[in-house]
Amino acid sequence: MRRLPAGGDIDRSRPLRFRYDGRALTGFTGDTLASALLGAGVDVIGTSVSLGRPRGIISAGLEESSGFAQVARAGATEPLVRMSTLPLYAGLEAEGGSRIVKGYLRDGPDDGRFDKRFAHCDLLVVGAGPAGLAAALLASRAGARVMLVEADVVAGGALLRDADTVDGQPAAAWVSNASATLHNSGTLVLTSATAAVALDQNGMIVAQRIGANRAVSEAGGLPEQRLWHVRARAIILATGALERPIVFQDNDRPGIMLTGAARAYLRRFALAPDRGLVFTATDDGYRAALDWHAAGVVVPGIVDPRAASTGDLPARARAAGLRLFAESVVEGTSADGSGRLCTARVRGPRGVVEVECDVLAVSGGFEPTLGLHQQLRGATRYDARLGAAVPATPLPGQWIAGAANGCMTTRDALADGARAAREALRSCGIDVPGTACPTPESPALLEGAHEVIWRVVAPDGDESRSFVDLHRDTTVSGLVRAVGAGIGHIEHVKRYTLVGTGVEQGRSAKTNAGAITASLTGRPVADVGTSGSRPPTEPLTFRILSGRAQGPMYEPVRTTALHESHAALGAIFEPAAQWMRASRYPRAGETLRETVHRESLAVRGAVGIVDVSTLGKIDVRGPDATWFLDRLYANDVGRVAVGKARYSALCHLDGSLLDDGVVIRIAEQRYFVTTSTGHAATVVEWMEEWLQTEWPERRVWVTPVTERFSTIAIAGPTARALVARLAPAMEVGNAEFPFLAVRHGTVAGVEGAQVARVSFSGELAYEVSVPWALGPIIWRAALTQGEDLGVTPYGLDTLQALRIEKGYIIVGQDTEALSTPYDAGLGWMISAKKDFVGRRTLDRRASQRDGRQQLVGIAAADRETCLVEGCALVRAPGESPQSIEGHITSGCWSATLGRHVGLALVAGGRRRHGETLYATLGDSGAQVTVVDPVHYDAVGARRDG
Amino acid sequence: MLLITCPWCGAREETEFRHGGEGVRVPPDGDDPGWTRLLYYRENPAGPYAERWVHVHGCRQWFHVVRDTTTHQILSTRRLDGQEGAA
Repeated sequence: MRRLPAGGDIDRSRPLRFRYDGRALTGFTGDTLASALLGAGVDVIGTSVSLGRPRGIISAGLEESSGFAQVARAGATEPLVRMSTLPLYAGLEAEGGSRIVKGYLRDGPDDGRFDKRFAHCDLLVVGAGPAGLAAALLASRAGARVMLVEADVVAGGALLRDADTVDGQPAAAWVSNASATLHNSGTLVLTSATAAVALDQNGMIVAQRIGANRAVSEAGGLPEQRLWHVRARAIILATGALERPIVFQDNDRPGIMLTGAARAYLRRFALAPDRGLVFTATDDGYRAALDWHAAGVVVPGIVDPRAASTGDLPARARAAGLRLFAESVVEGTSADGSGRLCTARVRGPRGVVEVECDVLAVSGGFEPTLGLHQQLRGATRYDARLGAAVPATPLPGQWIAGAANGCMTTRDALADGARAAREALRSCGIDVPGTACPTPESPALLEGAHEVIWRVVAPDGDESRSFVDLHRDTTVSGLVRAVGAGIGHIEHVKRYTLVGTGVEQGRSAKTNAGAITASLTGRPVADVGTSGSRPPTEPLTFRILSGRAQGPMYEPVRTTALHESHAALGAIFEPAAQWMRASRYPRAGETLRETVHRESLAVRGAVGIVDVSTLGKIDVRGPDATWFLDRLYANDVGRVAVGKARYSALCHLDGSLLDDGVVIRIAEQRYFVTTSTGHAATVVEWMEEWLQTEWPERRVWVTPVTERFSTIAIAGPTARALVARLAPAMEVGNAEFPFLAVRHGTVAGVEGAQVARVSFSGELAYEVSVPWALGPIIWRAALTQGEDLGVTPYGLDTLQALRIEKGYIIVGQDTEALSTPYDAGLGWMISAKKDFVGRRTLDRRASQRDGRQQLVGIAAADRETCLVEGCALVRAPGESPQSIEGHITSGCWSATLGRHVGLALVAGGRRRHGETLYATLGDSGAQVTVVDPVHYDAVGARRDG
Repeated sequence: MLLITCPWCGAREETEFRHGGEGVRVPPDGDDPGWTRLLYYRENPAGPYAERWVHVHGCRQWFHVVRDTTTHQILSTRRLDGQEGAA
């Protein structure tokens, strides 16, 4: 194509330099990348995916199946950007070649900013063509909150390429007036915005290109792209119609495009061929020839498979002296050395003629765009007149208008848009009487003047160059092979031939693929149908989906009040259920094992302190609090005295463990309950669920208080001495303050501190809870006043080692989804007297069966073997296949015992102590011995100091 | 993604809620096969389905929902006491 000296919506006074495949080129402000390339004489934009054939631009909009480019951005690269809707900007750098069908990603971060926004409106109109504009205008005049989204760079749709007038104004002028009216009335109009995903209840995900459509230097603070989450009371899908190509031999040559594209390039971008041939099965296709002719382009003819049409447009063509090839088809083409179209072979009733042309405009007719409707499984039916699917009934809350609804003329589309708006507004309680709508002046298109033609059979029978899907290089031969292999269902044909699997979901290939499959299998087209449309309608980049939720913004990070104190001690942190917890406090030159070794021995030999503020804490109170906790916890909460604590567990209705924790009775009907770190929210929800759904008459209040208290455990044989110093007024002797007792008093000057004799290490231990912000006071005081006692801060690694040595489980780690308290060795806590959630299932034989996966301890046979969590346990090493006896749930280096120990779930494990099993580690497996879960201090002598 | 009307707070995005499955009540007694059904069997109809949801990132209230499993239409939402929502 070449640029005409005048015309078009481009600004010739503002040329833009850009690069394509390394070539320096120039276009104009107002161009798209596609039009700029055509204007710069780049007809061959790249090569096809599997056959490597030269390809060119097919369309001027959303039908595009060939023109995609890899676009470089500052610090990033975007694959497969559609050239026909990418505005040209200064310095644009794009790669074509094989990149038109194969994009790539670059390693490293993408520095571009991507945003999300939420929007709510009465009416969302998708598509700003005649129907969408008519609908939005009517609705905004009626006072509704309207949002209009358009995938193309500008509003207008088909009006931009048609010579029609609307309300007495040229179509393009009417469009810009309508846009201004909408803007002034507060309607949100988004362009370059694709309605990508239709959600239930009238939700829509819209992906808008903003900065990405501008030079990086001109994007200012704008995000590259923005993802809109829209909720509307009503939605109008005015998504228009796409033009369908016709399949014939060598129909993929650069220079072959759709008739609508030929007109758009002429009218919007002042681009014209030297000799433009038209091959159309509809009257509408004649417009391209007439427009070209009016612009002074040589039109060697119009090829029409129908008998001479009597419509307005063919009459005008005849009057203009254009040559008509009636009852004729293009059956093949030839190309020059670079692959560009040279001639078309036209077969008619009087034989074949070779027609010279550099552009061949093709139209197989227009078909509704129904991807969004189909995403929510909206029904369609086959319309034989259009040779395409049309909507059967819209989904609730939605209306389909204009060409998407089968109204293919400007007049019908405008009227249908207004109709849809009236109906949609009525559903929102806004009544707009009357039937007024914008009135166009447009040529009459004859009803039934359309002959449906999908494919011209190749004269030599070779259809390996008759392309159905240009993006995927699917040919008629491919469909023949699929059908020959016995494949008939269109979804199977799609997967066998890859037709319609490109980034554009084969939008302009689908109907042809279905229809040709139908003809190959001798079935009606309506029965074969087309492959479905799936979300998103356009490919979305991962970056627009992630938005700002990456790096530190990916997830909130929770830190305890002691975080700075840990950091000051050189702590290494690890994430635990959104919390950052101190793993260990290494000294200079220490290895991981040396640190854990030192910290462990300090707790077992002297005293250690650990931050356990992340444990979930729940305040449960109310007249029925005791009754309520008795119904949820496995042991007799009601028998816990005030000022005492009890270790207990929660079960699901099926008897499986939900969580364990300590229940502290603060007062007669007031409890302080702890949960595991990872289950804090779950347990609160669990309590609320039972209170609300089963026992609404019970008066209990459940309050999560995890972040109200900092909790520090002081553990070790000299813990008592340290607590005595910290809380001089508190009786801390074993008789006055026994195991599982809870006291309140002043600790390190903090009044009202709660001190509980509970232990997760097996050592004498006191858990001190104080108001969250005061945690550091206790921590610092313990470090200072315990210095001569050898007080050692310890982290999660040591905490794990100590609890594994003692066989203390973590629910969810040392249990499976089906593990019961019996399986976990907690059968002792189950009350014999009362009912609780899970009890009924636990009483069944199946819950206590011998062969269940039961908690055991395991000890490695040698000093070198780490017991890795999740590792399978088998009877013999190296044999396969064999049954898996169980798996390791926790493992650690035990400084106290001088070897690796762990916990495991093993089938019937409780009866298998002493047995040798093999962990599937290394080539030969590692020998382990099944032992009691309590590796250390089996009689529990150490907890009282 | 659904838009669910919490009877207490009004229409909110699905991400604010947690699905609680079929709305079953725990019987005080009943035979063993009945208990098995309660634990492990759900109706899973194609069509209207009585479920419970909780507005977990909102008011934390449980409520009844009737949802059409074939169209994802929310046919009704009600408070647990059977009252229509005020929202």
